[in-house]
Amino acid sequence: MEDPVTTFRYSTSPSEPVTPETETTLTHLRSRYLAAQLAGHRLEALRLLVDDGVLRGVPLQVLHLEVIQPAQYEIGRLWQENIISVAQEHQATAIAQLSLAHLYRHLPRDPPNDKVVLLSCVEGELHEVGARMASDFLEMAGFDVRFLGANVPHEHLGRMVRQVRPHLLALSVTMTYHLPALRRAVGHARAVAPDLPIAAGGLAFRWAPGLEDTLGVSFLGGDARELVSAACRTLGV
Amino acid sequence: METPSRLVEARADTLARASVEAMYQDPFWEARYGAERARRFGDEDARFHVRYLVQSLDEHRPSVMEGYARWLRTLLVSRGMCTLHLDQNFVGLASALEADGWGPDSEPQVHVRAARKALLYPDGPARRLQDTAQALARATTARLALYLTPEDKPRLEEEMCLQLSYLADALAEQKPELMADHVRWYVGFWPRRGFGLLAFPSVLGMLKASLGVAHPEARALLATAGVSWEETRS
Repeated sequence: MEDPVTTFRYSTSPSEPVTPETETTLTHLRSRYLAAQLAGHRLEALRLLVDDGVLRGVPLQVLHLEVIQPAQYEIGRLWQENIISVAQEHQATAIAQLSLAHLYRHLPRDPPNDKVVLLSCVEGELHEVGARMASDFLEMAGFDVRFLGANVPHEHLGRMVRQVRPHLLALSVTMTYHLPALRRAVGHARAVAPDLPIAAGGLAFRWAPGLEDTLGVSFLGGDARELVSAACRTLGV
Repeated sequence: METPSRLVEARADTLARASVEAMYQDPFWEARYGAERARRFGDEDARFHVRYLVQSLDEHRPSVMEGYARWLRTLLVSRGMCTLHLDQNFVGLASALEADGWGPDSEPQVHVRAARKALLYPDGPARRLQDTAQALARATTARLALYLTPEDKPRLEEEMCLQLSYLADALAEQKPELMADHVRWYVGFWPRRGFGLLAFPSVLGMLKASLGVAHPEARALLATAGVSWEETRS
């Protein structure tokens, strides 16, 4: 059987210049973190992120985008190619959730900008790691984020919009067959708050490029960084 | 008036069932995955094909079906199937749609055709193999004509297309083990194809000869995957 760890490759590159030393360190960290995920070693995964990451000065954004996210993509690939089982994939994803929760209190935060963002996965959508990561990035940029998590019924989302009165609603959808749920969520939010800026994002858009133009949303947040930039532009912060 | 996506959605179960009826006539599925799993996953996949078709129609974007086809191919190829199997699924869906009154120029048929086209690999050795599969299958069958009855010839051509599809997938994925694993299993299944004394290694050997100098990469890969005559007779 193919060894998942030795075949782990990355395609994302950090936005900041990366020296060969830091790249080597990150590559090593990614491999060990993935190995811990696959082995189901929760404590080891957290130890790696904190002791070999945070405490050695690796920025949280880099840990998110260069370790946890590519590891999740790799986990997905390993399942798709029948190298790991569904159970192993779920185990690894649970560790990613735990890692994000654990790192949350270490997030460096810009001063509050007094803008509230409501972020939610659409009804039926169970994949929430990307949305959770986007929430963390928005929070690091100074936004006050209300993260609703996976599978939020659109009626309840509408009620939440009415109750919270956010400055921006961000909706996440991973599976293409949840795009109708995205349309319904946009419709419910618009009915409650017609002028509310709405962002949409998630892997579902990769099979339907340009779809955002037909959804009546304000912009597409392709990834966490893009979402933050667009949110700042839209809300003037 | 109902949209195509709603009409297809309303008939989803019927379309899914009809699309795989012919597939289950092939003993390959039961032999490869067991009766229960073959039915369960075969039916589930068929329902997913229709589900994604509805989605593609909802968005009026064949790109949804294209993305789905490419994504699913990787998944299935890693589990012992080949591109041709998926293509046959889509052909079955097109037939089921046709039987339901959807003509060749209707939107659902256009989207299914887009999915089939998406299964063609980008330019390279795997694509060359896909483009010439029919001709290679005919050439190989012609070389083996002495061992075949006239009725067997079209069946063997189909068999050759199947083996070439596995070969193209292994080439495209750059995973020779995909072909090797398939050959190792298929050699045991081959007698159920009913070609009498024509042994699987002989057929693969002739296929290798047909690949000639036009397909050096495929030929080299097949050479590493082949089961020798001695191994099958020991």
